[in-house]
Amino acid sequence: MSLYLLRRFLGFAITLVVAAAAVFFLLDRLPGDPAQFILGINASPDAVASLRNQLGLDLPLWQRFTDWLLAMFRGDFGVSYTQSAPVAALIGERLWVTLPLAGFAMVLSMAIGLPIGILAARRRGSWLDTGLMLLAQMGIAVPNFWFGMLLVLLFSITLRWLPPGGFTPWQEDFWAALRAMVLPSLALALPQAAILARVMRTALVDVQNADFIRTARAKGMTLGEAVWRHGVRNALLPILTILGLQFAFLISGTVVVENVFYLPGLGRLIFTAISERDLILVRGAVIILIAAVTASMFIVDVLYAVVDPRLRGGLQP
Amino acid sequence: MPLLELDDLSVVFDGPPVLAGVSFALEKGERFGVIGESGSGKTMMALAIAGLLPEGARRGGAIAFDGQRLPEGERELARLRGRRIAMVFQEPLTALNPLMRVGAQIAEAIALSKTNASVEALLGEVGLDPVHARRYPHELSGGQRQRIMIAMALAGEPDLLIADEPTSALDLITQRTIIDLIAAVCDRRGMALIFVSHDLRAVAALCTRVLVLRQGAVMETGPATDVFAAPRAEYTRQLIAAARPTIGAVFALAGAPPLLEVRNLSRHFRQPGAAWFAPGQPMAAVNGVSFSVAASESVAIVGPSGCGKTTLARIIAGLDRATGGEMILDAGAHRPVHPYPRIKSGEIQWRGSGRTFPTGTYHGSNLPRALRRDISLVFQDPYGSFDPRLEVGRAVGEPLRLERGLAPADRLRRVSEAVQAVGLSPTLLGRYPHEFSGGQRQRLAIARALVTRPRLVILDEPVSALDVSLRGDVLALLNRLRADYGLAYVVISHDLDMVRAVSDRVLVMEKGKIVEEGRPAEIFAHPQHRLTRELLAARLPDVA
Amino acid sequence: MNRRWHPSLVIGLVGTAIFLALALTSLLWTPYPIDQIDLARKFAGPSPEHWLGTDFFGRDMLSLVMAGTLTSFVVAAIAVAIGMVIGVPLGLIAAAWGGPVEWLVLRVNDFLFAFPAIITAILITALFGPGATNAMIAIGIFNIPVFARVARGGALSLKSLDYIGAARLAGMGNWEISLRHLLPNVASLLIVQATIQLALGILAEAGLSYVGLGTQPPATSLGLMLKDAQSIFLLHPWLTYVPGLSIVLIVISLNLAGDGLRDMLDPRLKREGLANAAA
Repeated sequence: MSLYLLRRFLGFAITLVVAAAAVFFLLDRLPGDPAQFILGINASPDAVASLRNQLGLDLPLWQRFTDWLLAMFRGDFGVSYTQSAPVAALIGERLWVTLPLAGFAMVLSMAIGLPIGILAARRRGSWLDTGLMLLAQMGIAVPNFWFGMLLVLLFSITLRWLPPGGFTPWQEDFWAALRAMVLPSLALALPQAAILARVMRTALVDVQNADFIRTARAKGMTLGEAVWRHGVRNALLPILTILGLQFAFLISGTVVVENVFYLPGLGRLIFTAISERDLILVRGAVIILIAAVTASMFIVDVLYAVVDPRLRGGLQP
Repeated sequence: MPLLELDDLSVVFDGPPVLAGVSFALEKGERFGVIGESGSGKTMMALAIAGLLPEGARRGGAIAFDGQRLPEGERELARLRGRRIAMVFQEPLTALNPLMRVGAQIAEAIALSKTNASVEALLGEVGLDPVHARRYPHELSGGQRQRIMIAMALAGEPDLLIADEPTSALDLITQRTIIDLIAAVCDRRGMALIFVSHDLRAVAALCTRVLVLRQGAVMETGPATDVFAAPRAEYTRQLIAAARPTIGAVFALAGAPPLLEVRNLSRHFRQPGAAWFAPGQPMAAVNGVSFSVAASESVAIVGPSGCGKTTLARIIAGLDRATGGEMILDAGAHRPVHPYPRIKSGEIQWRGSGRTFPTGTYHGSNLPRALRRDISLVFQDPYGSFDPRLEVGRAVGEPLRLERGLAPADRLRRVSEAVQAVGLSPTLLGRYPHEFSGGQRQRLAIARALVTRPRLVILDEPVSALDVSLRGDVLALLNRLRADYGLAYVVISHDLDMVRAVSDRVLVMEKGKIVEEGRPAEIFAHPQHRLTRELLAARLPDVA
Repeated sequence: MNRRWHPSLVIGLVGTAIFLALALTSLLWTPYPIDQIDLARKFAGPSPEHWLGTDFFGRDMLSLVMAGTLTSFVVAAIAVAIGMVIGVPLGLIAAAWGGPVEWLVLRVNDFLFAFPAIITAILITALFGPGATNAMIAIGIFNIPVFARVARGGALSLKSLDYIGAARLAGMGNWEISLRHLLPNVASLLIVQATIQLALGILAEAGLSYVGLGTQPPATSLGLMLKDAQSIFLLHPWLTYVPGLSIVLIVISLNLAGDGLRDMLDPRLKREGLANAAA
């Protein structure tokens, strides 16, 4: 087990460092001078020179990269040019919105999608199954941000149950913040739930034909019992694969959905930074996003090893 | 009252019935064998009795267990299965849940059947140490997994055990031990047995009554001794003949020059470690093997699975690379007349000819291109050895790329020649592999091996994947081709009887080394090495 | 091959064909020019002159949908092309060569998987400004590891088959084997994956345009229409219904076509393609 995990962790770490390098060098490779780019054409040479110094642009490339990397490990992501505040603090503030949003969406999507998939698989061929899968088919096709708009139209305008947008910080009013999270989480969760439902159903249906299900029936279980006790665990494997990718899409999705609901999350920070050409801020935020995506794939690998003993490299006969 | 009574049982999917008109009665404690090849419907019969027919199957006729009809409801049927009818399947790796410890799976069987059995006792009964209970299926060997399956089947103290090809996926020696185990268990518990297999010898060893199935229809049934001694159906006669060992034609090899010399060949593998640049311990699949093959000689290499014989074959053919030692493919000044002669059986004439054969030392995949056409390989599995998207004509002709400057008309002629030599018509060349039967595909594989007019053909388990009734024909074909074209063979097999039919010399291999060598008759009569004796002892007695 | 036409496939193809037709027609003709502003007629509901009504600027919605569909298709298609042209050879090479080559390709794949479309789009926009080309590249880059993985997976399951060994014995090198034996046999897997990625590409393009990183005015795309509607949809929901529903219908058609294709070509595909279903 540990050998497998070590291998995966090494892979994760290497990927992260290489990705960080790519981001660093990409934003560095601008035609012309990065400091000039940030300040614009009409900036004074002194301002440009001082920014260059601040960015450490006079140092050789590799040293800049390693300095930056080590600084990040210490939690120092540089200072935002436009807001004159540490990037880490700015991002940290926004993460209080983005991370809970992604988390709720993930949990919701599993809580809705998996049971529906199991139900559809159990009643395979029935009207319920066809109906649920049709719903799932539609769910996959819906852009999450548009769905958010529809939810606002229904729940905020027509029914007036929930706020149409905006956000009060957690410390100020916990329940208001929670209420502000409901619609965005739903908007993110439902298309993913549809995918999970379909994958779960297919995985279970496939598992029904597996040899070990036949053995379980030979021992005295009905098909339903066999699938429930043996099939679901085995069906988890393809589900885990999907979940890893789903998290990447969820992270991307939060960035977009925040726009619909005017949530002060990481997404809005990035877009503002782009329009103001604050590359330091963009760089820091992108690294966080990439780290989140890569980390989720690593966690999936760990879960694989937990679920599947074949990956743990045990005894040989 | 019979324990089990089948009355005109039939199983239909869409289309013609896969099984029809099966009727017999089974008494308590009786051992009943069902013999059939692929497509005979024997597995469907076993599944029908256990109530495990796949979706879409319709069952006709009546099945009565202990005087009562099999229940229709799934729940009652399931409970019956747990407690009175047990089943053991062919492929133990996929039949066990890979994510659950085997002890837990046995415990589940006990819980379902509500008996007082214990996991340790059951493991002991099938000859396994209780420590194995905590293992996962992939950590056990094939034989051990099958014992686990049997232990699970016994948990409910069933009256009837149905075993569907329980040994086909296993090693020769392990097969024997499992069959003995089943016999012992049935004796001890007074259990009835339905043993389904294509292996006549196994059925003859275990069962007192037999039923012969072919294409879903009953060919013959009766007491085992009667059926085997005096078969009434032609098909049964064919099967019995195929199960008997035949002695191959050996012809004079005096004066045959050496063709291939293998010197101290080794192949080490690195176990997977942290990454490809940090491997684990090396393991020797082939360990210092030396032997030689003379022109027109047929040498067999036998051994249990994992002994390294397939790796050795692949290295000789040029698919893999040895890590130590070398091979020399030698023409000398003697070679058969060019072009490919048809030689009178029993005589091989050696003459000088215009074409020069280079002498080549190689280590496997670095076999020089010019020499590649002299060595061919026939693979074991007729289903995987052809690209499903290529017409067989093109597939058979693929090795001709090794001969430069061959005009398309010549290519076609060579392919037709090869295909005719194996007894198939050139008109079939435009068809796709799935349109041929297993036996025909194996013939096509042989044709593909012949198309470059090789001098050495390596055959990896050439008939193991074929139905028993077809094997005799293919073996006869191989002998005939050798006689006609002066081919040398290296035959890889685990089946000692098949080897006796086709080879002049036998090499016994264990864990990468050759442990014994000799002519088949010698080896059979006076085995020297422990492994050879074990292999011979594992053979089931001849039928009738 | 199963010769019976799957109903999903038929419905899916018909739906896709309708939208494709609309999109292609827009190259030659739309009911109104998409940049024709008519403020007097803004926010009109469906009417005989404007079948789908008008938007914020009085532009004809039907024309916008037609032109927008074209943009969406083009962006998604080019992204799929990028993914296939780079990803499939990578995957086949990894499977055919194995060893260090495979290791390298797998690490490259891991690296590319760290860059979902939005992240790449952010980077490109920060450097070069927004545009439809950005969307193509960003979505395309994330398509590469998807196709590489499918191609490699398919090829690996074939690699152990004996006919590959037979081809090697016949003197074929890795390139030839990849081209003549591996590629044709994984083609069906790739086609199914392409329809899935096309559908996902349309959704991704919509998202990118919605946040302003994709198609820019004066061009139009379905996502851009939703962006325009963002500020006023509470008062005029019709402006979101039209483009949103269009997206949903196109994607459903593509997904149905993909499902039908998969069932028709090979039931075994369903299992292997499972892990890539929503990638």
